[in-house]
Amino acid sequence: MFFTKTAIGGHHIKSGIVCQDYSASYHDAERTIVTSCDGHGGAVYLRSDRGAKFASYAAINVLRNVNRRTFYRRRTEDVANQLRVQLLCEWNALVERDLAARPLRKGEVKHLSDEQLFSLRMEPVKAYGTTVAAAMLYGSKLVILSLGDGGCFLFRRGRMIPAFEEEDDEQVANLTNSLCQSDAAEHMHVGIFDADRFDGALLCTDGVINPYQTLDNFERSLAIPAAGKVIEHRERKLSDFIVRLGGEIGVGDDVTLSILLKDDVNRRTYSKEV
Amino acid sequence: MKFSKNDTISFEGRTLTVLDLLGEGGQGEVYLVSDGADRYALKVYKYEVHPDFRYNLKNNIEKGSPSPSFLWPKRLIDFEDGRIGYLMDLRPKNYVSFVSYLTGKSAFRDLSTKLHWCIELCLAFKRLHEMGYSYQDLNDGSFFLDPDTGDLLICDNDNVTADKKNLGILGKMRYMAPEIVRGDKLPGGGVQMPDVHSDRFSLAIILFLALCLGNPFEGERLKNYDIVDETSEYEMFGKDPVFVYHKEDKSNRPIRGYHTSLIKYWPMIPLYVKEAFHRSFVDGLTDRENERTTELEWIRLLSRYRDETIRCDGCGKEYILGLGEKKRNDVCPFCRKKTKGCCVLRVGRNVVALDLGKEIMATHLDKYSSAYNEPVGIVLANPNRPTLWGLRFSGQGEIEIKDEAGTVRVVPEGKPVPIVRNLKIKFKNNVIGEIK
Amino acid sequence: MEDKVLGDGIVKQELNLLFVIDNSGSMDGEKLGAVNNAIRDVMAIMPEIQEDTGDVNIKISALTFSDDVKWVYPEPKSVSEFRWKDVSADGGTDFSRAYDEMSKYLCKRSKGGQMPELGGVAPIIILMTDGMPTSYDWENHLISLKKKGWFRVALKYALAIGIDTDEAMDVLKKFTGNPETVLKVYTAEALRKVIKVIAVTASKVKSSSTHTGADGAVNNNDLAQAEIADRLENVADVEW
Repeated sequence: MFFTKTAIGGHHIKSGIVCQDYSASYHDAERTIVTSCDGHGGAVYLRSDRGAKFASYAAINVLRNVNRRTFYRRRTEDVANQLRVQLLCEWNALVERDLAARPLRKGEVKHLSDEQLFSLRMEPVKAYGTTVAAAMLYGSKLVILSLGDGGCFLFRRGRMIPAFEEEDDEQVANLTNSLCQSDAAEHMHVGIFDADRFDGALLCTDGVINPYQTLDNFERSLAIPAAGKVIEHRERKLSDFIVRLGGEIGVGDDVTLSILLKDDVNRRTYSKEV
Repeated sequence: MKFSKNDTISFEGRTLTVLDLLGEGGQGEVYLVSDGADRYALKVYKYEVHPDFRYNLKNNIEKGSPSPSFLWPKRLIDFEDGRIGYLMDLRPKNYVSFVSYLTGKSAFRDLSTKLHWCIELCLAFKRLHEMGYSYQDLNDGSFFLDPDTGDLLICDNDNVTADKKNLGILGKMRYMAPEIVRGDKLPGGGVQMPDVHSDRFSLAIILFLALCLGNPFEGERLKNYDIVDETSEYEMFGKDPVFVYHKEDKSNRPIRGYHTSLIKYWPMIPLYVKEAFHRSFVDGLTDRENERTTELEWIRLLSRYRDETIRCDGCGKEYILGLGEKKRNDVCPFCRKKTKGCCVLRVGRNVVALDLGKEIMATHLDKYSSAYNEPVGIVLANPNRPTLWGLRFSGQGEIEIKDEAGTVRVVPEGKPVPIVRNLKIKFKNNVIGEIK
Repeated sequence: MEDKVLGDGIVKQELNLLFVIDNSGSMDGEKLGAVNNAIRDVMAIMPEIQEDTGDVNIKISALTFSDDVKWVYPEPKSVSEFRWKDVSADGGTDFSRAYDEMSKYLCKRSKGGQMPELGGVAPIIILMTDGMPTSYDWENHLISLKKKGWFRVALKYALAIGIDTDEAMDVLKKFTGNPETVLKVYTAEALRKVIKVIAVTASKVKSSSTHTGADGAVNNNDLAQAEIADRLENVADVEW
């Protein structure tokens, strides 16, 4: 079972800015992949909506190529590092292809300061700055990769657990790690979990998580009820809520929620209704 | 049998006391020992070694160290149980490993210091090769550096043999020349073993690592493997290596976001050094005897690099003036502050940027000298008027100078030569320099 | 019935306003009197500002430092709870301890600080001092403080009260990282007005004009800074 929904934020609607979040999913007989990416705001990141889209594509392309051999007799850290390399190569290539097809136009950069223009000329890839988060259920593995301030959580027996230890108070307010930074790989988390031990995963952008102030509150008020909705196949309700969270009741930022659950998850643990 | 603390070892009528175990590896143990007066490191091999190995080691000890940069074996010891060992000097505390530099745990004081180390490295291998040796196993683990002075120490010298002779060592993956990785068949039978030419290839890799903090053959091709293992390493470093900055074949460029340091540092090294790397890592892949940049070539190029570095007044970092580039550096590449006006000393083919603290080496004034790292002059500020700079030479005797107006003056030994534009300087042996 | 679950638990974003006040011996008398007055003035207006904004909770904290550091309240207080207590002066000017205390404050609550676990608006920090640090290693402590994400995104002002040496001004410029947010103030009246303008304008702009996330905090700071600059034009005895 999986769910993805991205909705534009109220602030973006008011200011006439496009939605810079992007999510995607992939599903076949063997695997299910969901993504959740948040293109940066700010003048320099003028194509971050495309950056977020490419991040989703890149993550799916890389995770689709993972096969049983990948994990066979391999050190987890070696596999993780290869996924970092592949994700960066894939995203870089998509961005470069886009830049070649549609070079930055005068009109796009006219409101930038000289300093911003210079930094963009040195590193055009900055225009596409984005976070990335992706989760894949494949055989006995649950793979999660993430760079930036998006939320990544695991579900286990009706509870929500952070997938990664947090870096020390680094990513607050509008500070986040990004696929466009020169040392992106160093900050990219890759988790390869034993799928038997978990029920699934939840990914979201900071627009979803910020209105809840504490993780306990987020778990209780959003994560668990949302998983319940997916299990009950009432995704429509959840979708509608995400739209409202972005446009009306949240912090005004774009919102993305992606959920991945094993098909045999115990309904009762997440849903109050059964 | 391993030694314990306070064990004693007698040889040649001396008694050595074991003070501590310094390290342990696959080959054997290294102990801290004392003969009462001095302390040494004692390496003891775990197993009985091949007689050829012992003979070679003994021979090397007798021939002596190529240069002070080598922590060379000093005395061979035969133990009663048939094992052997050797004594060497201790590594002084001010040295840190090259590996700790590569992993960011320690850093050279500045670029000039780093270049000093690189030149020392080339000088050491030049001497080693001149003595008819080859090192055979150049890798990141053998080198040490003093971060403040750039002085060099080379350890693990027990595999050094006369060139074209081999004791079975092949080297370490990622540092080996491709023909050694592949085990190329030789026309007269046998396979290609390490020699001077494979040493040169590995030396270029070490220099590339020192200057750019990345491996010259590890780029985008990494993505093609779902894991880096022997197979992929054989392909990347043996079967089909592609230099990451190959001019035509762009299939293995460094990965943005992953090869962070390499992408940052490569653009800052001078064009003539880049060309030398390209030659070694592209043409040198096939023509192992003629296209691998030699030690002397490296020494000249790296000296030229050091000569044209200046220090930014804004951020304190060093960068090149860009005398050999398509366009000079008109701003600091780190903080973008405008490049300061800086005089240069032209003497022979050398152009030295006369920034504060810059050293003039013996080789600058004497083209027959090979003392590339031996300073004979330095740029100093006048203690009373810090904006006035001068060049103080030593061991050059009286120096005759002629200013723009044609006034000739003699500067006695030890007194500074003022740094003013268009000043002509006559050194001994009629060597003429000019400040521009 | 189940749908009332989704939508529950959404909390207002927090905006922290932090006053950092030098109460070393040299601040005694007129200077500290003006600070006490000014903060009282600010507190009189804050309820209106809080009322005007729906989605942000303003929280106020005050730290005094001399030889020692002391919080007026152990944790940030809402506008309605915060009561100013006059501070008095004594001792040296230990910037190192003040910076360390700010570093602690700017951590998440789960790590012993006062910042929210999730979300939150970039804080406003107003530092007031009349002198040079008496601790020699303040710069190292500032370097640690600058590692805190919440410090980097904060809108930082420093008020130099009767300071005239470049050296002391440099200390403050290093704190804000921006010469435009270091103000020299020469009279008690000017000090009172400046504190009020900064605290009130920044709170207002940051709590109402934009939201957190994406492009929130930084542009938000710029906007607040521009508006503060506008309003300070008419205040006498202030120098930029």
